[in-house]
Amino acid sequence: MTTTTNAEALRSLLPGDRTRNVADYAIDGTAPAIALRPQTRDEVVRVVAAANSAGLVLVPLGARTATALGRPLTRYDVALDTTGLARVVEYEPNDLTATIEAGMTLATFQETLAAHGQYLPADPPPSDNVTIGGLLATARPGAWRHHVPGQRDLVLGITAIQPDGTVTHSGGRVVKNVSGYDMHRMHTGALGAFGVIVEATFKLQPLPVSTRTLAIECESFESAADVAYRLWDLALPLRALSILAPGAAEVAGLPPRVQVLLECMGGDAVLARCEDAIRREAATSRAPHAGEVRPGSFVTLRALAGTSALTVLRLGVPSSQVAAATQFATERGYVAWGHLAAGSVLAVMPEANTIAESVRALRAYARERGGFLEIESAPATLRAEVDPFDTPERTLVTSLKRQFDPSGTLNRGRWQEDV
Amino acid sequence: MTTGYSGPITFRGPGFVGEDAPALTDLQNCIHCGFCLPTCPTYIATGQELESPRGRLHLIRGVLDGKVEPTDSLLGHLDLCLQCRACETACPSGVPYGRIMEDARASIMDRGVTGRPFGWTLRSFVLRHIVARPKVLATIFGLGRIYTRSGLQSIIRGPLGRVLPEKLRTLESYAPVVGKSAYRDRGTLARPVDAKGRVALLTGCVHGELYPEVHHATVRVLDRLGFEVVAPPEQGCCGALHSHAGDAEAARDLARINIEAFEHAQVDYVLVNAAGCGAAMKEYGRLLRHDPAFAKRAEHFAERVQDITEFVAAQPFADVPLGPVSEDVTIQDACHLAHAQKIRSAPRQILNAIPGLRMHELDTPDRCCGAAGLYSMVQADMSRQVLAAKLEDVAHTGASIIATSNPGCSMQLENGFRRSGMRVRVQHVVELLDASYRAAR
Amino acid sequence: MRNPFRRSVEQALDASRTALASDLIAALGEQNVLWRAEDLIGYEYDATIDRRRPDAVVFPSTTEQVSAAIVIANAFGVPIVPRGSGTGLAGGAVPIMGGVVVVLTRMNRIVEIDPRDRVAVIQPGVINLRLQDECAKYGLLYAPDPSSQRICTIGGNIATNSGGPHTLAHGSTVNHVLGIEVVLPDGRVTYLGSRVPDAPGIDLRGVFVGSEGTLGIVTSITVRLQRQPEAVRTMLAIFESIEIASEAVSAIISGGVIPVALEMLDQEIIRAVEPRLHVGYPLDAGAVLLIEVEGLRESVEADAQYVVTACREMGAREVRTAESEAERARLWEGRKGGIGAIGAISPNFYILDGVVPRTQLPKVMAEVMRLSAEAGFRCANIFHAGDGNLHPNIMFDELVPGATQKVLDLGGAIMRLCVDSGGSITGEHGVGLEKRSYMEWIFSAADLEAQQRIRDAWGTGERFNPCKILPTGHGCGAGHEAEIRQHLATPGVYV
Ligand SMILES: Cc1cc2nc3c(=O)[nH]c(=O)nc-3n(C[C@H](O)[C@H](O)[C@H](O)COP(=O)(O)OP(=O)(O)OC[C@H]3O[C@@H](n4cnc5c(N)ncnc54)[C@H](O)[C@@H]3O)c2cc1C
Ligand code: SF4
Ligand code: SF4
Repeated sequence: MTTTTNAEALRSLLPGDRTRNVADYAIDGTAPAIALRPQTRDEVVRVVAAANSAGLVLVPLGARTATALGRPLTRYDVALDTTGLARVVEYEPNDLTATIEAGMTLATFQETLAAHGQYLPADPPPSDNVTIGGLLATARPGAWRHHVPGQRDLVLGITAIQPDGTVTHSGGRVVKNVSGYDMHRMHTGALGAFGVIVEATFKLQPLPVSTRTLAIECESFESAADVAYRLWDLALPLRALSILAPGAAEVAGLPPRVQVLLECMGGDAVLARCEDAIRREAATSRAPHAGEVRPGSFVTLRALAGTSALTVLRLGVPSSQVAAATQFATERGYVAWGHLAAGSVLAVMPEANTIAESVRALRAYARERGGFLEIESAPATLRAEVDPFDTPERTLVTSLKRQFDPSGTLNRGRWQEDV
Repeated sequence: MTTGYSGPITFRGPGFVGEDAPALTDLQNCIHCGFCLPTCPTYIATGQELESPRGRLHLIRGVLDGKVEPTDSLLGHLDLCLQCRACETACPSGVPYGRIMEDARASIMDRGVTGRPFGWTLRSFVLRHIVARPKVLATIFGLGRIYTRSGLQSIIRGPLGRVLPEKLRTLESYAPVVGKSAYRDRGTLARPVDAKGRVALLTGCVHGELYPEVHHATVRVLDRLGFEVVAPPEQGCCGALHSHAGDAEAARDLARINIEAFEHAQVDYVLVNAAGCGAAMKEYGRLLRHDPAFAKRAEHFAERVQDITEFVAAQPFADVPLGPVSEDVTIQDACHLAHAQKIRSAPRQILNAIPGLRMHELDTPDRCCGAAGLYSMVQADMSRQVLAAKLEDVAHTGASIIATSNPGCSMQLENGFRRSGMRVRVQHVVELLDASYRAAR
Repeated sequence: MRNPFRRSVEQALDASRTALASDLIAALGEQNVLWRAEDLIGYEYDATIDRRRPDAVVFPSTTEQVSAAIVIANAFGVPIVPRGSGTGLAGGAVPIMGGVVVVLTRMNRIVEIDPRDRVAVIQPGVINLRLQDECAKYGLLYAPDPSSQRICTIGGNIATNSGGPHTLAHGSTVNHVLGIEVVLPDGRVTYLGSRVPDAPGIDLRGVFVGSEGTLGIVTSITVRLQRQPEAVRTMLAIFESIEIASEAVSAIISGGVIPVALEMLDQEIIRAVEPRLHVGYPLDAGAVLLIEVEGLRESVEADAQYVVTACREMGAREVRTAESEAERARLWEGRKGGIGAIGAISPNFYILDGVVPRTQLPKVMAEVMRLSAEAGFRCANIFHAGDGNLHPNIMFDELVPGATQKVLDLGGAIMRLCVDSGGSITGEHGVGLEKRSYMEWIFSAADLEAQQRIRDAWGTGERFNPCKILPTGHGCGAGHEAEIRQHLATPGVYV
């Protein structure tokens, strides 16, 4: 039996209207043999189990915003579109917890929560259009990371379908829980290596009373680092504190200079105090300009970081090196900006093809400083040539994969696991 | 070999015997929370459960339950305990550690010569026949005084020291400098006009021999505060060291002697300027609880015992003119003052009232200095480790005087300062107050 | 008369135990190995009721020594059990199948505090409070603050994913750990995570934290620090009953202000703590809430005002605010010493650790009190109310025949109540030995099998801290309850 006939057999497992156009699900230029969009958990179970026993490779997909992440797939038969699973399972505003299905978009989720003055503090690239499943499976940090707790910190439990169709839960629905091994942490950031996430429970936060975005224009990376540091040390209620190279500033709609971009949150008195502090520190550093800017600046940068057509690198460096690393990337032709608290620097290559050499140079730079470089998006050729992850511990990953997906049904090849 | 031991370890006979056996109800209070560990000097030094309060309690409970035999090695862990009772202060559950340890040692002693380590027998011999006998003690200190005064000590510590074997030199370095003449006054020591009350002073065993100045200062201060002070000549050693070593029998004998002596003196309070002695005397009630003739009297006696700092702080002592004592001072809380008698603020109140005195607190003022009675000799290594940490702490304060309230601590600290070349003097709190009173003239 | 067969088995055991000890001594040095039977008794416990003597105890001071000890234990085929300060409340550090206990207390160096990058690198035996104190010198804070912080080790905190009063706002240990050096069950040394947050790849760090010492031994830890807040306000809200106070908890949080800490102490606790510690809790209160808000001066002012109003509206008799740092410290001292203080008012007590959704608190607390009264026991409550993390402490006397069994049954009933209310069987103490049999109440057979796979993937076999977390495992599964009973048959200490 060929792959195609096997795949066709899956189609008959679900009602006819679940089939999707395979061309829309191409990854790295390859379309699957079949694309299905189940509507219930049970349908997911059926598809996954059938794919597994037929030896097919299945790729769960949400909003398809992060398909150029990880090693290129070595095989791709079935696209499983999760967006049909998009219900709120349980939401108790007074508990500040919610359980939702994984195919719901973050935007829809936020709308539901906002009605009760709550939100999930996550600002992943490219936008709130990502699905909850994708948000967890990619676990990409944004500008808010380490100012407010993020998705990694707030996920309380996950329901996942294992390759053989078994439904497994981990964690629970309470905000504090140490019962058993935290499988939800294993799924978080795993790019669907171990199971298809169908449901997740989050701890929520109250929405800030209001927020304000401000920018400080600086003479140099050094002075930007300096002022950013001092502001960070004031323990202001910030939600983001980033250093933008001139190129990134331009994208963000700011004058093309080195900029410190901040987002503060709180009531009027608190915001006034923050703005005051920011102006004062800017003056101390003789920054040419400081003041409020349109809130869209962060949104634009976020979108840029999530452009899968471009090469996007995330460098992890200690906070004290963020400005320098941003400068380093800029000098090598990248549009770069960095988040101080998270120690993450995003470097986007505007031309389509990035040379492996330059990625390696940036990686070496980050490593020398105790950090790392992850390729968040790049053409398949580059991701085949340079390990997108940079993780030293491979043995454990391989044996986890062997335990959870022995026949390599899910996302085969993403982790270059030796299964 | 996949199982650990769970049964008893070759159990040969009853672990604890006699009426002093630790009480299950005392031990039951220990919930194994470990909160006492970080305050225990021997745990800090070793990072080892067996040298911790929780571990020792567990061992004692093990012996009591018949799960383990009190072998020499097990008793070694009990022996390494300083009995500083810092663990008692830290314990949120109110475990009476000091009492449990004394009981455990006592009931091991009750097993007789064959049932206890030889060292314990030796120690009790020393305590009974030297420490508890004023005459013997006086003779020994007399010899010491000759040794110091003759200049031999300074020769040995100086030029000759270089040729003496290391071991002998170390041993010698423990010998105190016995320079001053001993305090031998008894009877009425002070009789101010219009005395506010009558108090007695415990002159003790080693104290008067080594630190006569502290007694003189105590008497002068009490005199100035308007108290008649007496020292009953029949009094003797308080028995603290005997209790700690588990020689309850000797301790009881001494307690009876003292109770009678002080009852006879008819005083309002029995004042003690050695924290260790005070702590022990406050516990005479429990010590003699099985003695029908003395139980009540002992309790009554114990109620009248006060530490000198406790007593002074409760008087309007700052109404008497105080003169300046311009010194940088730090304070070491004697374990048996802070942990056993729970007195911490009294000495500070006194020192803080002294004009010109600059107080610099230690990081851990209530951590043991390693003196612990005979401990510094019996467990020399551990004692030195504990002392080293203390010296470092003192050095950080920059103080030139360390105030304390127990002769054992004074000796240990002086020793430490001398051997490490630190220029810090040790003074009793009451000596500083006395100096202040005298400076007011 | 001794059975000759048994004697020969014992001799054989002793021979192999001696061989084990001498190999360990050769590798780690004599002063770092305990092997005498009467010494091993000091490592048969943690802060629970479980007891079992190990075959040897080692005190490594380097990663290499940890690895060497593991390799030797593997060669002898005996279990390995990591141990910090032994304050665990789940029996995690008890060598229930014997073997080698690896004590990390001598690896207690703070290697580095980098105030600029806000990270600290420490060895696993560093005491939580000591790290806090050192960080404070730089105006920084390591957020996880378990009540046992004055003695528990960071290694133990990692293993149990410890929480504390401030978990409400800052999250538990896992949210503050960046990277860990781990010696795996086969002795191989690896590094999980990174010095920089959000290392790429599978979050092996996240899986390890909270694995209760079953996946390896942590030998070096890099944690994230944060700046101390500009202002803190600590309040004590006094209520007539624990039910009313529970209602207030939910009301405060759902109003949009999340305090950094929100702790409950009931009357039994107040009466145990106050006479000993004199911290200022009113003896006649039914319950008090200890509430803390922090941030900029401006927001603290507003938040505190909000909390006071909310408490009043929910029926608080009085809300006091700590006026000085000393007063604040005192209020906290009462909280931190609270559990221990129960020991002073009851010969024994049994601490439970359950979690329920916050909104269920009033109902659940009423039920807890009813169940305890019905069983004839007093119950003292001191817990992280903001997180819905209960700690009912059942007081009893082990010397009363049958009491212990009744207490265990009551504990089971309360756990069941938490589960039925949508909660969990442990919020911070862990599953360890104590709660293995409850795991089936919250996880399906498939869930548990998946968890077993994690363990298998780590290659822990059955020898690395055996019988912990999962209800089954060769030779430990079914025996668990019987084991506990057996321990209870002799007088022991209960937490
Ligand atoms: C009075 C009291 C109050 C408490 N309050 C709290 C609280 O508020 N919050 C809370 O979370 N807990 C609390 N606890 C529980 C306990 O203190 C924590 O679980 C703590 O983290 C244990 O640390 P420890 O060093 O004592 O570890 P141990 O008890 O020695 O060990 C605990 C577990 O960690 C493993 N382990 C230890 N070190 C390592 C290592 N280096 N590598 C791998 N595994 C290791 C052990 O195998 C064991 O499974 C409390 C306990 C008591 C007695
Ligand atoms: S008395 Fe002192 S040395 Fe002995 S266990 Fe207690 S704290 Fe440790
Ligand atoms: S603090 Fe008290 S209850 Fe806790 S272990 Fe020490 S002695 Fe036992």
